[in-house]
Amino acid sequence: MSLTRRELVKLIGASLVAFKAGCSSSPSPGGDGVFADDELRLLRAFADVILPPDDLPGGADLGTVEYIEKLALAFDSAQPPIFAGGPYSDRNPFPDADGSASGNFPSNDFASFIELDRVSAAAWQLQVLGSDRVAVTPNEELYGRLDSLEGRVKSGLRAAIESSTIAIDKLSADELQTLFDGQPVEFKSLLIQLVQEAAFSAPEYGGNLERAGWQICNFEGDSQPLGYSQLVGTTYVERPESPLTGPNPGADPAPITDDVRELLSTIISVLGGRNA
Amino acid sequence: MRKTVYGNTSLASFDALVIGSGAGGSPMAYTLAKSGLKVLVIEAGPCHLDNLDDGTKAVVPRFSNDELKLEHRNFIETDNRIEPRTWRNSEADGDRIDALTGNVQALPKTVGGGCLHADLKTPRFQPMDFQLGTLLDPIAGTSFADWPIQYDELEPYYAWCERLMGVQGQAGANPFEGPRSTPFPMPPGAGMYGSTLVGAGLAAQGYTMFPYPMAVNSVAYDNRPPCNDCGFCSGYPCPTNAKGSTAVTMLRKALLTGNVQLQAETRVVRINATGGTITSVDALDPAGQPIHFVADRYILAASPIEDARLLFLSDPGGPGLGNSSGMVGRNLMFHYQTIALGIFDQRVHGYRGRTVAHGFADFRGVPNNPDKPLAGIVEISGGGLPISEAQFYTQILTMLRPNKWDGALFKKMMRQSPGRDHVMVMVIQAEDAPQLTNRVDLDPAVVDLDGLPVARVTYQNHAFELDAGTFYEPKLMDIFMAAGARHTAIAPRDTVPQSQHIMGTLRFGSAAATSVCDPNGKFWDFDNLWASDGSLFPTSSGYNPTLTIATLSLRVAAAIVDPASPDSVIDPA
Repeated sequence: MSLTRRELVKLIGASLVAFKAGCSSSPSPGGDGVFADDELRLLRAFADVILPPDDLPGGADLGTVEYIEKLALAFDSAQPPIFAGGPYSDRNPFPDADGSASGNFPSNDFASFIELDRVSAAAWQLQVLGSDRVAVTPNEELYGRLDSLEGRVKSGLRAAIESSTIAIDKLSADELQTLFDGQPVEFKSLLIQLVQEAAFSAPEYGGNLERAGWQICNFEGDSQPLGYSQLVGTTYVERPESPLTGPNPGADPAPITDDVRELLSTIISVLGGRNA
Repeated sequence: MRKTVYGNTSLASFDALVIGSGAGGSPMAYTLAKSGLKVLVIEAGPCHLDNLDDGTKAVVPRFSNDELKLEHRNFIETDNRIEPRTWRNSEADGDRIDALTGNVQALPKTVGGGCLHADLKTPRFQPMDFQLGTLLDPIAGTSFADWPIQYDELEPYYAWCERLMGVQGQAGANPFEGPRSTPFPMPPGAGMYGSTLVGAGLAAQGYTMFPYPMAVNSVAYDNRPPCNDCGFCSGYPCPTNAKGSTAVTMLRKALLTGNVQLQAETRVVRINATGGTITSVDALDPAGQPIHFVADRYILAASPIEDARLLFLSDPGGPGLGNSSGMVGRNLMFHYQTIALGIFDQRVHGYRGRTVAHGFADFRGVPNNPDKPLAGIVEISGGGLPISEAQFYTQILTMLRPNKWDGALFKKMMRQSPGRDHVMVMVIQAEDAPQLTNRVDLDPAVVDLDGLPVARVTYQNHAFELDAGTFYEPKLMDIFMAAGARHTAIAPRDTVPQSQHIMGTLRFGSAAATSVCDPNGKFWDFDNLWASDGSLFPTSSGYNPTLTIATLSLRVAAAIVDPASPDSVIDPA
């Protein structure tokens, strides 16, 4: 049996979910206890409205829930997973003597997270836990109080659930789109931001499962320690599949289509630019 | 327990105390320490350079090819709610425009400072840049002034600084550059595909493209490897130390002398003075507890906005420490950036490489020539990275259809990537006219996490730079069209200029009545306080400031070590 990439990602995602559910007392299968079942289902559905699945995964299968939960629960960990370590992941090898990729990979420094200093901790505790759970919110009278990340997402989801006259599971794609479009701008903006961060950030943050997010945008991701050039003698050796100084080999995997070009032309005209 | 004290931890008395460890502080620490002075460096941010003070091991950065960490989670930059700054264009705006304006020229707070996140484009200024007070006809509303030291006096320090940081480049390639006493320490590195395309457009328009001088190793140099063009460069501290930031070059060397102690995560909150002498500084230690430091000499190198803020914090209710001239905080300058986008039919993969490999200086201009107004060097770079790209498309899509999110179109744009993989960018780093009204002071109400008033920036552009930008906009688009771009446009300007090239606020000059510091960077008002960063700049030039900041710091330090013969302090080539 051959699996498509999407099926593979879904399978891996389901396995992860099952594993987490088995390890947790969470009442919400598929989550880490941050969201109730109906919230979780709607979050996944909205993630796919924002970044729909096609032959490549959508926002849900890219790990939006996992990403949000990892951040929302960051301060349950002694080492909050806010800043992944460095300098290298284990996704690229060291170069060989001839500048090509060797079979020797570094250990994954991204997998361990960096201890927060006093100021970073204060900033992220406020962002994640909200004003109610931090000692001081500077300039509260000017900026207002900040709700927790969990609270902002949950309250938005609950409001959407309660505003829907149809059960979440029964909503058609069009009805989900309408439900999403009808939510407050602040909530939609937050969710769009979180889905995009989940999809296109390093996988260690909980999203971008199987690096499918980077595959969507034809991006190689982090490139160290191989990089895109290796100096050998007096020559910079480049990666044949990802050259530095010349054009990419082969056909464009996703050439610009007429509708996107028309959109570009409109934007450029609005900006007072020029279209050839 | 996390390490926050580096270098010689047993030092208890100090000849000099340096506030800040970036491009202004590290060269100072290096020069003083190699001359035998005992130096305490205080840095507000944490150290993410493991083994920085261990000469038996390579420095291991905690930096990485991680867009989320560096660009969206503020790993080294300041948080808007915890350490805000406020903004207004003029006093007519009231106390501030918005309580929470956003990123107002926030530079990294970390050991190494802004020099770490820069992609370290390090051109020298041109000789004329030091003389605009004389060369320019009077322009109402501006405060152009000559520098109190000229290019030829600074040239040996430029050469020294290029050796210390390890600068790649090609002498003579920029037809407008000043004379050099030494060649670049290393040749230019690999180019970028997009630069080649833009270069054809430049040639067609009669302009001269050259390899951008950069403090990035093109070959192994000073026990650091050549750059491998990983692509995460502008805004990203280097994961391999190929970038010769002043932290991994001069600060490390300083720490290894045994004459330096570095205290990270320590925030200076007040400078104390008696008469014309600085006596001590008050600070908050890594736990936020008060701590007190004493030294014989004090050097401000915390970057122009924070330098001025600290002087105002040090004189509550007064005019500000060192401000007998009334000039502290004034003449704040950013480079005025005109940004042109070119979208090509083919993928140009501008995210691979050193962000910028080439530039041209034909738009630097000539004083008083209306056909060649003064602007600046032009950087040729690629597009951004995917999360920023996604946010860019989100802005476009929500602008066009605010009430309906088009996920399918969003995903199609991410796959086709017209805003990243097909984009090249040209940025003019244009001269920003100094104005007395562009300034830093303390916000009357907004405070940081420690309850201290934050810096308020009052700033608006002068017609000098606005007109120059307008003049060159069509020429940038001409270049892109000649290079074969399908679309080109000038990016809209933000409310707050995006430039993190910050200059002025403690202008140095030849007269105490019109400047804060003397020609050697010493405060006119004190016998043991100096500034050694971009705050000293009387004018902004039209070239990236980092090399000149570090060079000036070396020069100020050399004059502290040997006032009669500062050039004798320069390391031999």
